[in-house]
Amino acid sequence: MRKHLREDEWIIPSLTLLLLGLGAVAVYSATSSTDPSLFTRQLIYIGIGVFLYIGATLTPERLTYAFTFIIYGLVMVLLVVVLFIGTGPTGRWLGVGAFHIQPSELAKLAVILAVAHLLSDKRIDLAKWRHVVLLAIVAGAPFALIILEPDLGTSLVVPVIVGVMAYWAGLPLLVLVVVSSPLAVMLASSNPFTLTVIIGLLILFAYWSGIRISLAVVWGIVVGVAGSLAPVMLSKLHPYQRERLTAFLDPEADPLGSGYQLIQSKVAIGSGRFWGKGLLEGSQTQGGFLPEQHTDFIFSVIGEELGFVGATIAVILFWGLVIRLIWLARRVESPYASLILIGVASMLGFQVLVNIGMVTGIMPVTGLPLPLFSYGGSSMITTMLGLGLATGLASRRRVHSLSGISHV
Amino acid sequence: MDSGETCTLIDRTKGTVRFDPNRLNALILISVLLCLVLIFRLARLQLVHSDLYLRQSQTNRVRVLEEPPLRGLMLDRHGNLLVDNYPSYTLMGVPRVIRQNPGTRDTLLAITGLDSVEFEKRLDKIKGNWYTPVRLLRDVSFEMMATIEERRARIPGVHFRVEVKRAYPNPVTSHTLGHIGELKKERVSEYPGFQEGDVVGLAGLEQRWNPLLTGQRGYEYLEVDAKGRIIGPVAGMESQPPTPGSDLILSLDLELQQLAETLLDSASGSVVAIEPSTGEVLVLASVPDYPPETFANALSPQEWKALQDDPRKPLLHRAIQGMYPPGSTFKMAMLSSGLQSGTIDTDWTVVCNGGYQLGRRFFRCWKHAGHGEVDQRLSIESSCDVFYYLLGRKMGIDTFHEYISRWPFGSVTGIDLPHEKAGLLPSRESLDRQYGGGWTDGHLFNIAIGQGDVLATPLQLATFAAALANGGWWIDPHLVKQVKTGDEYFPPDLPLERHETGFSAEVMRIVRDDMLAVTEGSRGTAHWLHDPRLQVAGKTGTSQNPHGEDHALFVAFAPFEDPQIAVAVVVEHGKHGSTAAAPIAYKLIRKYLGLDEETWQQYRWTVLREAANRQAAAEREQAVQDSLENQE
Repeated sequence: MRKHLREDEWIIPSLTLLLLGLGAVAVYSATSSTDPSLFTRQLIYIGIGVFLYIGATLTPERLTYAFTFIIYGLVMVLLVVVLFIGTGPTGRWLGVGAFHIQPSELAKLAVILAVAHLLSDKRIDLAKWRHVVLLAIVAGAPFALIILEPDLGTSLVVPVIVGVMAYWAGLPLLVLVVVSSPLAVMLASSNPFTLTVIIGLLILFAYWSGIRISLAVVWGIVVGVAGSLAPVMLSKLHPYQRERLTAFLDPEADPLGSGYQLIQSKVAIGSGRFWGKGLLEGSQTQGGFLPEQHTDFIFSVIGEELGFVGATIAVILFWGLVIRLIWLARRVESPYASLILIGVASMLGFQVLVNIGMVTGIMPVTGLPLPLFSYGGSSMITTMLGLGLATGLASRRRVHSLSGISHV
Repeated sequence: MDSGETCTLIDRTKGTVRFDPNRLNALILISVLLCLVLIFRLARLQLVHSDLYLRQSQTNRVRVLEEPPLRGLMLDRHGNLLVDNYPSYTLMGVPRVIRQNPGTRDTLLAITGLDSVEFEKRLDKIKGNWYTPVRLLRDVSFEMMATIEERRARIPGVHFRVEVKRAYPNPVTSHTLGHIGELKKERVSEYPGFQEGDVVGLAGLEQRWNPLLTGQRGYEYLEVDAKGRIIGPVAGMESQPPTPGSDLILSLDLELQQLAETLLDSASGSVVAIEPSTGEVLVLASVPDYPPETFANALSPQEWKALQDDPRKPLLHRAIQGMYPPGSTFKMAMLSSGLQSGTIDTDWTVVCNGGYQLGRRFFRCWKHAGHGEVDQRLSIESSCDVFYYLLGRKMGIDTFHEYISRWPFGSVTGIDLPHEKAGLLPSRESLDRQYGGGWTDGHLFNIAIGQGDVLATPLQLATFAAALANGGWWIDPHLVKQVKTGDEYFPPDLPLERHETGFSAEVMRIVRDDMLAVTEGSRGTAHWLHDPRLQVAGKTGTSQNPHGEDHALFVAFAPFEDPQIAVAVVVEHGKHGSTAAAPIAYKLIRKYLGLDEETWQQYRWTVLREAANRQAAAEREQAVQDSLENQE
C-alpha cells in the first residue's frame, strides 16, 4: 500500500492547499476587525478538513464502495431528523454540544457515492426508463428533503451533480434534457427573457434530435405544467427566498434588503480594481459593509483586497481543480472512481460558479458557500472529504492497473 | 431508448470502463467556458466599471462631516452687537443603524415625543447613503440631551450635532436684520451655490448679504464602518476647516435706532435717518415689529396666521415697503421743480382764501381761514396748499414728472435690502392708463400736494431729505458700512452711486431757506419746536388717509449749515406732522448731535412762561384799559 503514495496525484492537493491558504487569508481579513475568534475556529475547521482529506485519501476504494449505501442511508436519516430538531439560525444544523453539522452538506457527498455506485453497476442500463426512475428516486429523495429544510441553494447542487454524473455514464443527452427541462423552466419562470431563451433552445433541441411527435407533445405538456406551477411554488417559498430571487432580478430596488448585500459586494469587488486595495486594506471589508461576509460573500474580500489579479487567480485555481478532476476521471479505470471524480468535480464547479456568480451579481443570491473559502465546518468537511476521496481514487489508478483488480 | 442499445459506463464484455471522449471534451469545454464567464465578469466589475465602484466605496466608507461655518455677525456703526451666534444641538441619526435596531426607534420616540410617521419621514430624508446621518430633532433641550446620553449604549446610531443659531443681544429693527432658516426647494434658484436644506438668510440683511455672511463650509473626512462607527481620519484626504462668514458693520446707530423705536412706541409708523454726505442709514425703524427670534424656529401655522392677520401688519417693513402719500413734505420737490423748470419765479404769488374752487369742487387749504397772499417762502413755511394746486396746474403733468423724478421718488433707492418698494410717481402715461384719459386738473391738484397718486416710502422721504441737505445730490442709501473678513475691513460691494438732481444752487438755496423758516419763521408749522442751539430745516406733512386718521409726516435735516443727519418720520394716524412726527425727529437729531433734551425742555418752559407772561401782561393792560374806559 505504500507504493501508491509515490504515485500520488499531486495537482489536486497542491491546488487544494493554495485555495485553502487563500481562503484562510480572506476569512482572516473579513473577521479580524469584527470577531477574530472566527478565524481561529476556521483554522480548526481547516485542520479537521485536512485530517479528513488525508483519511479519505487513504481509504481503500473497496471500503468506500461497500459502505456507500450505509452512508447514504445514514445521511438520509440525518436529513429527516434535521427537519424536526434542526437548530441554528435557519434550522439546518444538527449537533451535540459544540459540534454542529449541516446534514445537507453531507448529503451532497452521499448522493455522489450512491449515484456512482448505482451507475457503475453492470445491471444498470440508463437506456431503460425504470433505471432512470430508480436513479431519479435515489437522487430525488435527498433533493426533496433538502428543499424541505428549506435550503434552496444546496438542494440545487443535487440534480446538477446527478445530471453531470449520468451524462458521464452515458445517459443520452435527450433524456438528460427531457428530465432536466421542467426544472430549468421552473427556475427560469420568473424571468421572461431567460424563459424564452430556454424554451427556444428546447424546441430547437427537440427538432434536432428527431424526437417522436407523441413524446414531444407529452414533454411539452410536462414542461408547460411545470412552468405554470412555478409561480404557485414561488408563492410557497419562504419570504427570504422570494426576496433573494427578486433581489437578483433588481438589486437596486431595495438597497437595504437582500439587494443591499449584492450592491455592497459588487462595490467591494469593483473597487478592488486591478491590484486590489491590499490585504486588510479593503474599506468595504474592514468597514463591515457586507453582513456575513466571511460566509457566503467571502469572495468579495479577495476581489476587494487582492483585486482582479487575486480574484482571477482564485477562479483559475478553482477551475483548475475542476478540470483536473474531470481529466482524472478519464484516466482511472474503475467506473465507480471515475464517477465519483466527476461527481466531486461537478459539485465543486457548480458551487464555485453559483457562489462567485452570486457575489459578482450574475447569479441569484442562493446562500451557497464557496468551497474551501467560506467560513464554516460542514462545507469544509464535505469539500475536503470529496477532494480527499477523489485524490485517493485517482492516486490508486496505477495500483489497480498493475494488480489488475477489477471492481464489482 | 429508441436505439435499443444498452447504455452503461461499463463495457460488459470486458468489465472495464467505457468512456466517451466527446463527453470528456464537452465537460472540459464547459468548465473552461464557465471559468471564462467568471473572469469576464470580474473584468467587467474590476476593470471596466471600477471607477464607479471605487467612487461608491469611497462614499460608503467616508463619512463627510460637514462643519458649518460660523455665520458672520452684524454690528452697529459703533461696534454694538446686533446679531450674534449661539450653539444649538440637533439630534442626528444613521438611518441604516436605526432601522436595524427597532429598540432605538421606540426609545427615541418615547424620549422625543415625536410622531412615528414623522420620525420615519425624517429617517427617509437620505442624503448620500444609508450611513449618512439625518436630522431627527432640532434644538434639543439639555434635559433631553442628558436623557439620550444616559441611554446611549442602548440606542445606537444617534449622535448630536452642533448647529449655529442666531441670537439678538440688542433686539432692534428685526425686519432689517431678517432671519435665517433652511432653504426650501422652491427658493433654491434664488441662492446660487446653495442646496435645499442649507441654512441661509431668508429675509432682510441676512438674505441680501447671505453669501458673505455664510462663509465656507468645512469638511472633515472620517472613515466609518458599516455601523457608522468612526474609525479615524481618512488618509490622503485633508480635512478642511470651515471659514467663518464675514461680519457686517452696519451703518445703523444702535442707540438712535432704539430711541426711534421707543419714540414710535405704540404707534404704527417708521423712522429713517441717513447721514447725508455718505448715504449711510443711521436709523431704519418700522413699528410694530416682531421679536427678531420669531423665525428662528419653525412657526406653527397658527402663529404664522396670527402674524399675517394682525391688523397692525407687524410683518411689513414700513421703512422700505410702507407706501404713504408724502403730503406737504412733497412741497420742496414741487417748488424746486417749479423754479428750476421756469414755471414760476420767486415773485410768483397766489392768494389763498382757504381753498380754490375748481369747477364744482372746492379744493381746501389745510388753513381754512386762508393764508392771504402767498409767495414761495410762505408756501413752505406755512404749507399753503392753494399755492401748489395752482403751481401743479401751471406745471402740467409732463414738467411735473420730468423734474420730480430727479428726486428719489418713483423708483427704488437701491438700499441693500430685498423687497424694497418703489412708491408711485404719476406720469402722463400712468394717469392715462389709470383713468383712461379721463383725468382732470383735479388729479393734478391732488398730486401737487403729495396726495392721491403720489406714494413714497419713508426711506425715499429720508433720501429726499438727505438730497435737500446736500443741496441737490444724494448717495445710495445703504446699511452695510464695512465688511469684516478675518481681521481686515473692506468697503461693501455696493455701487454707492452719487445721484445729481441737476437743480441749480440758487433753487436749492431758496428751498433750503424755506425749510429753515418752517422751524424758525414766526409762521412756521414747526415753529414751536425751535431749539436755539440748533438750526433744523424741516417740513411737516399730513397725508390724507381714507382708512382713518391722517398720517403725520416730518422730513428734516440738521444742522442747517453743515447737515449731518437727514430724517423722515411717518406716524400712521398721527393727525398732524407738527405734533406727532416732528418731535420724534427733533429728539433724534438732538440725540445724534449730542444735545440734551433737558436744556430744550427748560428753554421751552421759558418761552412758554414768557408767552404766558406776555399774555398775562396784555390781559392786565387790557383790563386797565377797560376799567379806564368804563370810568370815563
